[in-house]
This record gives sequence, C-alpha cells and structure tokens, in this order.
Amino acid sequence: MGNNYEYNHFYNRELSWLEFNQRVLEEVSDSINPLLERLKFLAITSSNLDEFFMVRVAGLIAQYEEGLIKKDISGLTPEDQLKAINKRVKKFVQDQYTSYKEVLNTLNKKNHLKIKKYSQLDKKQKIYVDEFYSETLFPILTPMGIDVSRPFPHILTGSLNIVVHLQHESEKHMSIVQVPRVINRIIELPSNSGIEFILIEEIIKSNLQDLFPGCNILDTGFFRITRNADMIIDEDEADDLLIEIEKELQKRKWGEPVRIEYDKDIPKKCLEFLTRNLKIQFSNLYEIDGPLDLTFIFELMDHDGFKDIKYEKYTPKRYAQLEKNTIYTTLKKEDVILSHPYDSFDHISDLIEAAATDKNVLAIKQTLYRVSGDSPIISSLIKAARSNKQVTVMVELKARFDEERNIMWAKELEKSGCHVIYGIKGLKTHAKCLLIVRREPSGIKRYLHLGTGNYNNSTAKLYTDLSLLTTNEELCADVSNLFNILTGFSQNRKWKRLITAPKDMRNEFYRLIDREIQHTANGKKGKIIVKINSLVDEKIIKKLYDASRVGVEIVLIVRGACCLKTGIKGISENIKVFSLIGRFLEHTRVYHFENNGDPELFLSSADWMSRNLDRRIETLFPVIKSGPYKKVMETIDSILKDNIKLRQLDEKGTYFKVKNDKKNFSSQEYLYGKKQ
Amino acid sequence: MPVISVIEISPTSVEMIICEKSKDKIKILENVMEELNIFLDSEKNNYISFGKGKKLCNILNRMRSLSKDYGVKNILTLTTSSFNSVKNLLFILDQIKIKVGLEVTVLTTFEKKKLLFKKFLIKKNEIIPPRKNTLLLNIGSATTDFFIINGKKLMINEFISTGGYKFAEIINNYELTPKESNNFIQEYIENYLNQIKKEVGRKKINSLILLGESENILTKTKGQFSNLSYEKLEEMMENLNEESFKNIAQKYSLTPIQARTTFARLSLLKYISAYFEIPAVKIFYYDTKYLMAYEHFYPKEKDLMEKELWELTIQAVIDKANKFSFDKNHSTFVQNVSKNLFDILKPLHNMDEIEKRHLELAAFLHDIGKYVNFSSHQNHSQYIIENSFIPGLTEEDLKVVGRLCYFHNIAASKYSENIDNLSGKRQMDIMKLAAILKLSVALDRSKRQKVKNIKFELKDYEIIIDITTLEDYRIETISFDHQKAFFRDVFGINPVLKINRRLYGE
Repeated sequence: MGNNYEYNHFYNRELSWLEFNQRVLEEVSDSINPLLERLKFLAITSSNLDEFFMVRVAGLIAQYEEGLIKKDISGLTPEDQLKAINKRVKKFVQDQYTSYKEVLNTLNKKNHLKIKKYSQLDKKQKIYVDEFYSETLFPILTPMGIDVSRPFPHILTGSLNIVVHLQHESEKHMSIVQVPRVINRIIELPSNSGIEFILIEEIIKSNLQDLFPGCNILDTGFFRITRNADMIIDEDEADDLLIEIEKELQKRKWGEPVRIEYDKDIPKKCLEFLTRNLKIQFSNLYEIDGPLDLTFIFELMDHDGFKDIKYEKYTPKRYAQLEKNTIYTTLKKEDVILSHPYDSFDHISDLIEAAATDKNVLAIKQTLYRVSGDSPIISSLIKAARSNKQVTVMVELKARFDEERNIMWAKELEKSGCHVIYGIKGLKTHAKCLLIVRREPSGIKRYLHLGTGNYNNSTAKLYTDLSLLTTNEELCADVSNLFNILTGFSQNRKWKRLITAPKDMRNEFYRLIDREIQHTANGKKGKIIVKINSLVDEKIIKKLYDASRVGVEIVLIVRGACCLKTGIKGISENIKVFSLIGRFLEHTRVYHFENNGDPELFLSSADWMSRNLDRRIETLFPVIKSGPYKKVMETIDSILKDNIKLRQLDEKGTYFKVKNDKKNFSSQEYLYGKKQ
Repeated sequence: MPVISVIEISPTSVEMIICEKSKDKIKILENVMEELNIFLDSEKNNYISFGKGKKLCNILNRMRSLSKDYGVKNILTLTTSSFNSVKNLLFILDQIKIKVGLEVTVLTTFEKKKLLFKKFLIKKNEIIPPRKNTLLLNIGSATTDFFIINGKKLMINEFISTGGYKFAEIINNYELTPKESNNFIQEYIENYLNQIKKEVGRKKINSLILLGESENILTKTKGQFSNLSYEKLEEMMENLNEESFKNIAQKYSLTPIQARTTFARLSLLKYISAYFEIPAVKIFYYDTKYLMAYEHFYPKEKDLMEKELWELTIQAVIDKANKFSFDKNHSTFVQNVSKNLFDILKPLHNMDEIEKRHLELAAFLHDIGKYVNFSSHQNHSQYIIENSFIPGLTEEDLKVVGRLCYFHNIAASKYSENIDNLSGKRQMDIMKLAAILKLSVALDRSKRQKVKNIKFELKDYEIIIDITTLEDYRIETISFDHQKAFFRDVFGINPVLKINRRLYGE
C-alpha cells in the first residue's frame, strides 16, 4: 500500500456508507423525533438503499464480472465487497422492518394512523376499495403472461410487481402484474376510528381474479427489482450530448438487475421463477417482512393531518437588507453568508427574478446541477432571456437521477433564447455559481453567489447549505473566467481567489494540510476543522494521517461515508470524526485551517472524494476573516456543541451519540430557533 | 462608463479583453483566450484552411457573444503582422465580416512596431534608464527587433526576419529536442548579433528590456515588470534542456506550440544577454490589446503619446538623413516653410496632422538620394525611404513620404506614374503636399537660406509669400516661377512672391 499505511488503516467505502444509512435508521427509533418524522427517516433509508444498489452495487458487480481483482483502500476485492455488502444489507433490512413495525404499532396505538391489510377492512371500506379498484385501478392494469410464446417481460427498475401463478384448465403458467406508478401508492380509507390507509398493491392482490377470468390463481407474491442505473456515455463520439444522454436514459430503464426484493410470503416456486429469469448475482435477494419499497411513506408526509406528529412548521428568515430594492446596495458594502434552510433560499431565487426584470442587468450566468420540479429559478432565467438579456446556463446533463429533468430544462431554456452549455467533456460540473452583470452609474458591477448546495428551492428547505453573496472583484473575475472555460475558452489564467477542481483543488488541499503540518512541527498552532458529506479519498486521508502523526488536531464532521479510521495508535490519534443526522440533511462543505492563529476558511461544492477532486468542476472559495467568517464558524461550533444528534466515530468503527453533562443542545434546533 | 472589447488574432491564439474606462484607469472585465494554431494544419504555406477559418469565425462569434454580456457595442479586432502574408486573407476577412460582423484590422509589421514603441514610451520613465544604452528587444512571432536607445535618442534599430513562432515551427517540423533547439537558435542568431555589435561599436549596452509574452509562465514571475538574472535564466534553460517539450507543455499548462514558442523566446533572450554580457534582464509585459483600449478611451493621452513618438521619429529621421549626408540647414528651412504653408492653406486642403507630418519628413529627406547619385536623385530618395524602417512610421507613411520626395524634383506631367493606384482623395492630398514641398524647396533653391523673414497671407485667389532678404534672390525667384503653375493648378490660387529688401527695424 505504501506510505507506511496498511489496508487495515481504512474502512471500506461501501460498508461505511451502509453505516451512515444505519445512523439514519437509528433516527427512526429516536423518541425525540416526532412519530411521523421517524417513519419518514425509514423512507429515506429505503430511497438511499435503492440508489446504493443502482449505482454502487451495480458498479461492483460490473467490476466483478470483468474479472477485476484490484483491492480497494481497505484491501477488499470487488467480490469481497459484494459479499460483505450482502451480509450487511440483510441485517439492515431486518432492522428496517423491525423499526417499521414498531413505529407503525405506536402510531396505531396512539390512534394517529393505521395501515390496513385488505383482510382487515370493514365492510364499508371493502366496498370503497373494490369500487376504487374497478374504477381506477383495473383500467390501468396489464397482466403480462409468461409461457412458451411469451418471454419474461421487461420489468421496470424500482417498480413493484405481483407475480401470479395461474392454472388454466390443465396448464400452469406465471403472470406478472405491475403495480401502477401513476397513482398514489397509499389510499386513505373511509373511517370512523381515526385515519386509516391501505396500500394499492393490497387492493390489486385482493382483486386479482378480475384480471384472470377463467384461471385459477395458485399463488401470488410481491417483488421489486433494482437495475444498474449507470450510464456509459462516450462523449468523444457524441455529436450532441443531450441526444446521447436521452438515448442512454432509455437504456437505463433496462439495465442489468442487481437486486430482487420479495415479500416473505412469496411461494418458493414463484421466487425460483424470478431468480431463474432475472439472473441475479451474489444472492442479492432480499426477503422483506412488510411492504416493499418504504418510500410510500413520503406520501403520508403530504397528508394535511398529523400536525402533532410532524415537525412544527418553520419559516426561514428573510433579511430586509437582501430584499429586491436593497440587495445591490448591501452587497456593494459587504459580503453576506446565508445559512440555509434557516435563512431563506428565496433570497437567491428572488435575486435572479429581480435580475430578470432589471433593465440595468446585462447578463446572468448560472450553473445548474439539480433543480426542483417547478423551479422559479428556471422561470426567471427564461424571463431574463425573453427580455433580451444575455443568459448563459451551464446545465449538467449527467447529474445522476436528474438527467431527464435537466434535459427538459435545457430544452426549455434553449427555446427561450438562453445560451445553454453542457460543460466540459469528461467532467461533471458540480460547482454552484451565479453571476449577474449589471450596468451601474459607476460602471459595470458583478454580483456573485457561490454555494455549497444546489439551486433547488425544494431541497434548500431540507438541506443545510451555505451561500456566499459577494461583489468581491477578484472572485467575480474568477467566476467569470470559470464560465468562460465552461463555454469553451481555453484560457489557463492563474486564479486570483477561487480554487477549482480538477485543476488545482487537490494540490491546494495538500498545501493547506502541509502548512498545518509545518506549523505543528515548528511548535506553532496547527488545527484542521472540516465539515463534509463524504471522506473517501485515499490520498487526502493519508495526508490527514500524516498531519495527525505530527500532532495536528483534526476535527472532521462527515455526514456520510468515511474511510478514515480514528484512534489508530501513532497514526490517527489526533483525529476526531463526528457525524450529525437530524431533521435537515447536513450538506455544507466547510474547510477551516488554523494557520497558526491566522485562520483560513473556505466553503466548497466539493467533498473529499476522488470524484469531486479529479472528475468534476468544483469550486473552493474563501470567506475572508473580516467578512461573514463568524457566521460560518458559529454553525460549525454549534454542531460540535451538539449532545443530542451528534455522533462520534470510535476506533472500532462504531458511531456513538455524544453525551455530556452539559445542557441538552441540538445544533439544528439552535440554529433554527435562534432565527425565529 | 464606456466598455469596449479588443480582440487580437495571432498565429497561435485568439485573445480578447473586455475593458471599461473608469475614472483614472482601465478595468479589465474579461480576459479570454482560445488556442488556434491557425497555420499548422495547412498544406500550403501562408494559407488559412477552410476548417481553421470556420473555427476562427466560431471563436469570434463566442467572443462577440461574451462581449454582449457587458453591453459592448464597439469591438476592435486586429491581427498581427504575420497575417499580411496570408494568401487567402481577403477571403477570410470577408467571411469574418459576413459571418461574425467584425471588421478586422490587419496590422502591418511597421504598424505593430509603432504600437510596440508606444508600449515602451508609455512606461519609459519606469523602464528606460537615463543616459544609458538600453537594448529594447521585441521577439515577435515572425520578427525579432533590436532597438538601442539612449535617453530619448534611438541609436540603432535592426530586425531579423524570424521570431518565436517561426522558431517554434522549425522546432516542431524538425522534431528538435529542447537541447537541439537551443543549439540551433544559438547558431542562427550569432551572425546577426555580430552585425549588431559592429553597429554598436565600442559602446556598451547597459541594460536589456524584453517585451514579454508568456515568459512569466516559465519564470514564475508576476506583475508588469520582472527582473531575471542571467544566472537564473541560464539555470532555468539548463533544466528545460533536460525535459521534453511534451513535459514542458504539461508542467506549465501550455499548448505544444506555446511551449516551443516560449522556449525559443527564452533561448533567444539567453543568448542575446550572454552576447552583450548583460547580468540581468528586465521583462516588461504590456498587452497590445490594452494599449488599443487605452488609446480608445484616452484620446488626449494618445495624442500626447503620438507627440512623444513623433519626437523619436524626427530623431530617427535626422539620423537616417545624416547617414546620407543631408543638408540640415536647407532641410530645416524647407520643413519650416512647408509647415507654415500647410497651416495657412488648411481651408484649401483640409488635411490632418498626419499629412503635415508626412510633409515635414519629406522636407528632411527629399535630397538623401543625392548620396547615391545626383542624377535622378528623387528616385533614390524614394527607394531609400520606402525600404527603411523609421520608428513611429508605418509602411503606408513611408510610401507617402517616398512619393513626396520623388515628386519634389519631377515635372507635373509625370505624376500620374506614381499615384495611379491611389484613391482620388489620396491622389489629391499627395498633389497638394507635393505642391507645397516644391514651392518650399524653391524658396531655398541656392540652399543658402537667404530669407531673413517670411510671412504668408491667404486671399481669395492668391497666397502672398512675403519674404525679406538682402541677398540676391534671383535663382529662388526663377525656381519659384517654375513651380507656381503646378501650385496654382492644384490649389486653384496663385502664389505671389513679394520680396522686401529691407530688414524690419532698419
């Protein structure tokens, strides 16, 4: 392995990520959380796990099938990893459904809500659902028979299906019924005893006979498959990236299956039939003791009721000095940091909207990675283009699972006259930048927004992120330059303030860590505080070990996967790793280097992952000491003060809740409450 | 505040700045560059291929679009002198005009040098040490210029017809390694340096200033000026010699052709420094695009700079004239009379300062051909002028001055031979300038400056030239009579010579 570090000095990325999902799952059991929110955490784990299989497990299977035996950072081959994942996920799924039953039981006991089986329905309810079946479900159901002349059908990834074993006269055969996705999965029942629901698959299953007249239904079972969702785009060969990605998206629906989930009551014969036809590798068959695909819980969250068992509503704070008529004056005077979701992200959308109709605005340039469904930002950009402003939008078509939406936006924007670009070949543009060029009496003025999160009004209410608003000329010039590079200019100019990946960011991090090493080695003060979503980059971890070895104090707040091991004697004793899972998804990327009392603070769109540092366009931007430095550090300090939701990684790889004698303190509640 | 874009098309790249005039400075809003080795894939020499032409138009269109982001309405687009020899240049310029909507100014070699001098002049107090011989070195893409300046005086100006890009082409075509390239450049340059040394004579060159381009990428220096000791330069070149061009390009984020061009420039710099034993060189970075923007935004400063450059031009012209043993007193007399006539006749010719300057220069140089041969000396004067380089003058300027010198001793009936290819207005201007020059020369036909005082009065149909002299003025009078018909034809007024025999105050 080299550099005096061994495989056992690192955690495997996938297993570490599964531990992150376990931490999310633990929130289901945390009685501090409102009951329905606990259920929601379950839906999050389910959705997380789907993506994990579609991307990470699918990737490992592909490596295994290609015969790759290269070991990862922790010394595991793809085969080893797949086996370990399988074992861990099986345990995880058991925990998931135990939690599901527990919470649902409590909800039921406390008379909040009940999810019923068909057999549990009263007479009135039965009539209701049967009618619902005949009128709504039946017309959209299409059973797919399988026999000698009808091969095994293509099953959509993520779809929930019913396998039906049928007998028609003396012939037996299988049929598959896909549970429709166009209607809600959960149906509210007429009830006199609280709020009650039924899942549509239950209704379909109980009315299956209608679909197979003249047949005898021998057995039935639910199953769901997950397919490889990785796209292979040859950008060198692609004349038009948009068309190429559209084609690939079609193919993705039919990627190789990587997982089958089935309900525990599925008959053996049906299961064998499925595994035989779907050719699942690595026993990626998961028996589920409950409803498959728990993401239906998200639908419950939209229900008007349940106020007592949901988080109380909050209104993000707005600032008078950032309103439409004051924002330009404010930003000319000072830099502003907004801490979302506590501070309203609408300030950013409003800024774009105001720019779109401001006759003095000449141009708007923006990167878009993930945008919300009914994005006001897109509407504003379209409005700006229609008002003959120069609008340049870098739409990242390769943003995983948002490709279709981004293609749609790209087309809309192009149609309205925006200059839409898809970035640099081979690199994903993950940087979050917005630049407004305005003609003012004193000359051209540029207003800049740099963020750690996406321009997504929906997730901005759920994710913690930081926004920097500035008119700093050097940063503005750098971001202009970045847009020029994205639009195809090949200038290799030295950046003034901005650090970008893949060109300079990795080396800049090395330099910053080395400087702390140097300070500490010289008896000065060296300390690193970093808050990120993932820490999986081998070289960075080794640098951090190097720093720890000379005594640099390192505090890492890593929400998700972390391959760094703490507490290794002589290697990582000076490193502490924390993780915070709470109401809001921790998403900020903050890098703080003590520099012997002259600290440097950066925000970034990048994590310490190889993909961020080597394969994406990312930005790392400074928050100057005289600027809103304090506000950012206050956020970090509050996280480290948390003794409710903060967990710490121990030397055995377990995350334990940080407990102390101090008064209970929740960082997210503090930041949210403080803003009330 | 006004905002403009300046685009420069060079053989290896297209660069643009977008700048804004602020109270006391120019603010660069954008500085973009697009690599384009415009000649490299062409099978024919000095030919821009269809593909490269198309790519050039695409780049220019993108630059135009970026300019719109800043509300730019005025885009100045220029090319370097190496484009002058492009065979299909007219077609390319036409395509750019139609497809992009940009008018491209193709700078001639001397126009480029004029800009170069302005760059030095704009910072002369900071870069040129007083009373010391300074070698100003400009390594262009196709030429290398050597100017030796002492204070305000230009002592030597020479150039060789190869530059950084030309060397890079040779290095590329013959697949030379850095070490081989160094040796090649040293041998190539040595003969020229011997020649320059002969001209310099025993005078020592005290300092060397290079007009920088991409050297700072390799020297890792910042700012408008950077000092580079010979030892550091030598050490750097030794290190580069051990690398491949591929490595150099990768290490310093340069394109392959940029790596070779920059290497060639530094190699030249090293040998020239060594040859003249200069312990440290100063590299001065001043962008042509920035200068164009500066001149656009600050026309007054431009005029001042033009004035300073004009002084340098006059110095160089006198120097040139001295080489050909000119009669300084006669020339000065003709210059003064011509200037006065030009000014008083302004309502009749409506020409600008530049034409006046052409006239002045012709006044200095009209007789230099006599150094070659008295007979038909006007032919020799014209030839010498048209084949010289004089700082601050373009090829076009030299052509006009050369023609004026030719006309000063030619019968009016022969004029059409030399001006047929000019536009009507231009033909007329040259005729008028020639008429003034001929009359001025006539007034000192004996070359004894007999006139003590001279006054001009413009009337409706005549110009009265009132002179005071105590000497025999017959030869001048005859000569004046001889020239006045042409003057009358051209200006439509009759020149009248009035001679006063008494000095004022007598």
